[in-house]
Amino acid sequence: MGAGTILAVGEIGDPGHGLTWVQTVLIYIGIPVAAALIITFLVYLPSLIRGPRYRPGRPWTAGSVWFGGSTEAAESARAVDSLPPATTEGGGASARW
Amino acid sequence: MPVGDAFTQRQIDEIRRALASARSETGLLFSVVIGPADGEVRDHALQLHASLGDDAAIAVLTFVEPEARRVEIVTGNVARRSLDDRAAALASLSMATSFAGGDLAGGIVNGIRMMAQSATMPPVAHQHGAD
Repeated sequence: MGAGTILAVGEIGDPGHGLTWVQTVLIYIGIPVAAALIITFLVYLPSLIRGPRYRPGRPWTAGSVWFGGSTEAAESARAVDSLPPATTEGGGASARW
Repeated sequence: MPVGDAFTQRQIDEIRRALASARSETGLLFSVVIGPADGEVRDHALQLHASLGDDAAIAVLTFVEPEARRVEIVTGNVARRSLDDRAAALASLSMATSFAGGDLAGGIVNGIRMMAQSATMPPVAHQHGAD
């Protein structure tokens, strides 16, 4: 047994060298930071895949979209000054949420 | 066009597909507008419908106002014969329920399918017993 080694009661063997400061930083700071980053990434992953999501009550910033129409919705609505019978004699429904 | 801000490419494709199959199944001109309204929501929806010109008669326009939380369905005078107001009301309620849960694209796709389905169903004939 080396002169400089101190062993706890009942402990057998050589405790080896102490950690260098690089190892200390890696183990006590590097690993927790890496773990936190991985967890953060996993938490945000589903919404990254799903993309933007509509939340009721939040302002709508995406402008207007017309699926199945070739023109710009806002402009075409503004261009109409009187409703034709095709529209007024039609029907429809409305709902709110 | 800032469509990508509100929908993913996949959702856009789904909505387009639902519209295309609704059109081919019913012969009606289905379309969907999502965005802010100038003034009153119903009036804006009617103006959008009227802007379709000659196609307005056979058009079924769904207008979704995400900020006012309103959905309006406007049917043309010819379209109304196959898609009555009750069927439109049912579809609009179904859409509003999905929208309240934050699912814009899913609600639109389902609403269009519902309308297409009720517009393709033949009028109920009186049945006199199965003998």
